Amino acid sequence: MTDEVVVTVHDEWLDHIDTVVQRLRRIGMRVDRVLELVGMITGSLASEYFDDARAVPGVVAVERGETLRIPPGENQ
Amino acid sequence: MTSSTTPPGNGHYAAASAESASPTGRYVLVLSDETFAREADQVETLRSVTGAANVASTSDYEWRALDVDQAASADATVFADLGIGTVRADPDSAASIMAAAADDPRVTAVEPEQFMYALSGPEDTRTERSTVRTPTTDTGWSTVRAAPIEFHDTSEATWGLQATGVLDSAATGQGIRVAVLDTGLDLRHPDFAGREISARSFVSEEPAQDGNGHGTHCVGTSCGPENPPEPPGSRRYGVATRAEILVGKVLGDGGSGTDTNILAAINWAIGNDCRVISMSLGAETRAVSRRYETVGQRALNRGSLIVAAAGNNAERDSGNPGFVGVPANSPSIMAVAALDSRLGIADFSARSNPVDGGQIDIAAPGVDVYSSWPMERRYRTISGTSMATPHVSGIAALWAQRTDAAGEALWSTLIRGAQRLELPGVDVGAGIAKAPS
Repeated sequence: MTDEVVVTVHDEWLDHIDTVVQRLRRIGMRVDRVLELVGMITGSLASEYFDDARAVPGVVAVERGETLRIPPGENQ
Repeated sequence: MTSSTTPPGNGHYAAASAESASPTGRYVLVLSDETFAREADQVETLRSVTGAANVASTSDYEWRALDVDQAASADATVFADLGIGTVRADPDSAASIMAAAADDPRVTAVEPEQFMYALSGPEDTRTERSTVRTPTTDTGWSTVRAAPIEFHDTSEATWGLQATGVLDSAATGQGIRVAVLDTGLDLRHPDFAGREISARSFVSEEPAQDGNGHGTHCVGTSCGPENPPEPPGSRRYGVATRAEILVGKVLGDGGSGTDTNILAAINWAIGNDCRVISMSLGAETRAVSRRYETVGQRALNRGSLIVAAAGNNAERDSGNPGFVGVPANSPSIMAVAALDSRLGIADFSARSNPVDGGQIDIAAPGVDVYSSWPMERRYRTISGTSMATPHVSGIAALWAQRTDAAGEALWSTLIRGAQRLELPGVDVGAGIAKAPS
């Protein structure tokens, strides 16, 4: 199954984030956004390829995207 | 602090009365920032104000460590790295030094030197005999409990603006950009007419126009106007009345949104040089998220402070203190707890979480908070750590305007400026956020 994914890029790779993006695409990630200032790449990737993505040089973390919301009790 | 706000010659001078006679026979001169900038000026200032012929300076010593015996032979000493001088003087010459200093813009204050005591109490240092003391939990601090306070909304302003000192502050957030990442803003709300606002939606197929209300409420608290227009002429509810507002819609009108939206909006806010990014949102997850911690740190490095709601998952009346969730539990994101109008912790306000960084950093008004709401309702009073968060964000903008601090420096300024409360640090962090006076 394909999951929404957030890839965190190492500080030293921020100037080469496009290279990281290309390698992630080769693994099969569908890249939606490249957030250069914060060094994140978001998109979707089948969960069985998460470890492959973690092995890409410059990748610090591969995490499943979460849903954030208005804290409970306020939204009535 | 980039500049001294004290006008020359108008600083704080201890009156040369009997009470201000120095117990050590020495007086401390605090030199102005301008004088501090040049060491030669410090020595010259001390010489001319005190009349001391022989002025020692710490920079004369190796490692800048003062040799106490050498210094004892000098009439006066300059602590060059501190901008402080000390001079030995009898009460008569002390009076003339204070008089000279009062007219001299190079000196900010003259005070008698004090003895410092260990906190267990002055009698310990004064008695010669050693006594065996019974172990005690008394730390030596006496807590002076102020009369019970309770703030109320008045026709002039909300209780939250009163409790945080915003009403007494001359700062307005002018020139500072504040991003509020939430459900958007009612862009047709009359209270925001004429304000500098950039709005952008990061939620697919939903415009930045707020179809929920939560975002409009948060924008109102952080950046609402000084004088809400008449009619109906509401009380004031906004903190940074002249800040430039960036509205990033990251939560859909249903009140939820993905990381992808939020991270993209943070990237946008940083790219637009927002000094403050306010996020009244979260997930009920204890573990620190690598992505939010990285983002928080990179934002600080670029001069943007992210402020986030601690969460409402406590039920303190039932013995459940809750926990700070993502993203407020990231060490580089400021986590905000909610206070009620008696400055007690709100029943729902989450407590620090034992994970590294999962702690409450600061607190602000978050119970019965009146602010803007989409038309036609216009105003609404609600509660939550989400309502406390924009108080802190607005106050951060006031400090940013006043001190020009950004990033880590702005974080420190907020924490230093907070008023400590007689409540556990795990609940309220440094205490209630306070506006610069």
